[in-house]
Amino acid sequence: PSERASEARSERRCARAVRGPARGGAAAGGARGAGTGPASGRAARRRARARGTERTRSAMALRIVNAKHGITCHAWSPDRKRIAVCENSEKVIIYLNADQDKVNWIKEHELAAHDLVVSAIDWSPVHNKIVTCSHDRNAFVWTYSQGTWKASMAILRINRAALDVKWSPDGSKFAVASGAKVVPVCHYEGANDWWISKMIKKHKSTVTSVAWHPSSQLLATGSTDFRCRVFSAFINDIDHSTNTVFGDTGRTRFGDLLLEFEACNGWVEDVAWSPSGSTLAYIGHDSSVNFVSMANGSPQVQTLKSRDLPNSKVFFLSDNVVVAAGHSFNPEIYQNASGSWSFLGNLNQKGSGAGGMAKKAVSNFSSARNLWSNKISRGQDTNNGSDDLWTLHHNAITDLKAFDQPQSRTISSFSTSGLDGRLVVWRPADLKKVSGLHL
Amino acid sequence: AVKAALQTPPLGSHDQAVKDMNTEVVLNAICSASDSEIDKIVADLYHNSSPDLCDTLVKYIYKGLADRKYCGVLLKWHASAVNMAGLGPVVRAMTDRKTV
Repeated sequence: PSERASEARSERRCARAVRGPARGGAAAGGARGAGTGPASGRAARRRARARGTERTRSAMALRIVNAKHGITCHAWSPDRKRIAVCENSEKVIIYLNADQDKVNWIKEHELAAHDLVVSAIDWSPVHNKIVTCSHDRNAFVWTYSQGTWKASMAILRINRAALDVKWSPDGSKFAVASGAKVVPVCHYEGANDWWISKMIKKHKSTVTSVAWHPSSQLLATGSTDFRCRVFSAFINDIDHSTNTVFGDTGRTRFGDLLLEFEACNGWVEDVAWSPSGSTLAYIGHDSSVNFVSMANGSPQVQTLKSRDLPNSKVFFLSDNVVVAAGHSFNPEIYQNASGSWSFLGNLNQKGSGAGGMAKKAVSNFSSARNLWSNKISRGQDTNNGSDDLWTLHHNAITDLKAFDQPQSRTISSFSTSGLDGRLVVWRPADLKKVSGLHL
Repeated sequence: AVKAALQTPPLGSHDQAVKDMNTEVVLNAICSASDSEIDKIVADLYHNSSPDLCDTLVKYIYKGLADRKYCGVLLKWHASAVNMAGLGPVVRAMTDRKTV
C-alpha cells in the first residue's frame, strides 16, 4: 500500500511538473489540465485510492472544480451537502455531494438569471434561500420549491456593479455592496411579494464588502475610499431593538453612521465581525489587517502589517482567531492573546507533506525540463525550486466560507476557492499544524 | 547611517524641495554601504528597529529607481529587502498615498 501511495505521489509530481511552467497563465495551465480530462479522472481515482491508504490524508480535501476558469465565489448549503459555485461566468452551478470527493460531485442545478459575472453568492441557513449579485447591477433571491430554484429579482436601484452580498444572520435582510457608493439593504415585503431596498449612503467611493453584526442590526462596510464604517441597519417594521456595544439600536435610525475607521492606507477589501460581535476586523490593500475592539466602550484599532501580498477575504474562526486569505495563495492565521493580535503563521506550510505535491520532481527528465523552462520564463539559472508553487492554491484566493455546521460558535473548518479553479476545504488537522493556535 | 537617514521621512509634505533633499541624503547613505554590508544592514533594520523602517527603505528604493539613479546598487538592496521583509513593503510602497 505504501508503494502504491508513493507511486501515486510521483505520478502527481510529474503532472505538476508538466503544468508547473505555466504558472503565470492560469488559462494555459488550465487548458492543459482540462484537455486531459479522462486521464485526470483516472489520476483522481488513483489519488483517492492512495488517500485511503495514507494515514492522515483526510486532513485536506482538494477539489478542482474547473481549472480553466477559476472560481469567483462559492457558498455552501446549510447541510453542507451542496455547494453553489460561480465559475467566473454569469451562471451559478449547484453541485450535489459536495462534502465528498470531487469525482462524486453531481451537477444538480444551474441558476442562470444574470447577464454578467456573478460576484457573490450567499446561502442562508435560516430559510435556505440563495442570494446572488452580479456586475449587471442586479441581485436575485432564489427559492427552492418543487425541485427547482426560482429566481425573484430584488429591486436594488443601483447604477453600478454589485460586488458583495450577505444575508443577515437572522435571514430577514440582505445587504449588497456596490460600485454606486451606496449599500442597498433589502427586506421582503409580503404585500407585493418582492424584495425592496433601503439605501445606506455616505460612502465616497465603491463599497467593496459588507458584514453583518450577529444581532443583524449593524452593518460594517469596507470601501475603496480607505475607510471602514459601521452603520445601523435597523428597520422599524422588521427589527426589534437590542442592546449592542453601541447602545440600543432602537435609538438609531436606518443608515446612521456609527463609526468610521481610517487606519488603512489602501482599499478596504473585506470586513468581518467576531461571533460575539465585540470585535471587527478589516483588511486593506496595503497588506494590512486591522482589528477594532469595542471592549472598553471606545473603539481601539490595532493594525498589523503583513509580509506578503494583500488579502482578499477575512473571517473569524472564533472570538480570538482570525483567518485571512488572498493574493499570496496562503491563508494566514492571526490570534488574539491577552488583548493584542499577532500573526501566527500560514496555514499551508512548506514541506509539511500536507499538499503531497510539495516535493520536487526527482526524475531526470522533469528536473531538466524545469531547468530549461525556468531559464526561459523566469531567467533563473538554478532549479532550486524555491519559486515552485508549493501551496495548495496556485492563484489568488477569492472566497472564504465557513464549513462547519452553521450554528457552531467556533469554526474549525472552512473552505477557500481561488482563481485557479480549486476549492480547498481546510480541516481541524490543518489548523493544528499552526503552532500556538488555540481556538 | 542608513538607519538614521530613514528615521524621519517627510511623508505627506507638500514641499518638493524638502523631499528631494531627503532623498539625496538617503540615497547617499545607501550607496556608501558596501555590497557585503547590505544584508547585515537590512537584517538589522528588520529585526532590531521597527519593520516600518523597512517599508520606508523600500519606498526610497523605488523612488531612486524611478529617478534612474544608482540603479545597480538599489536593485541589490531591493533583493535583500524583499528576502528579509517579504512583498508586503513593496505593496505598501505602491499603495501609500503619502509618498516619500
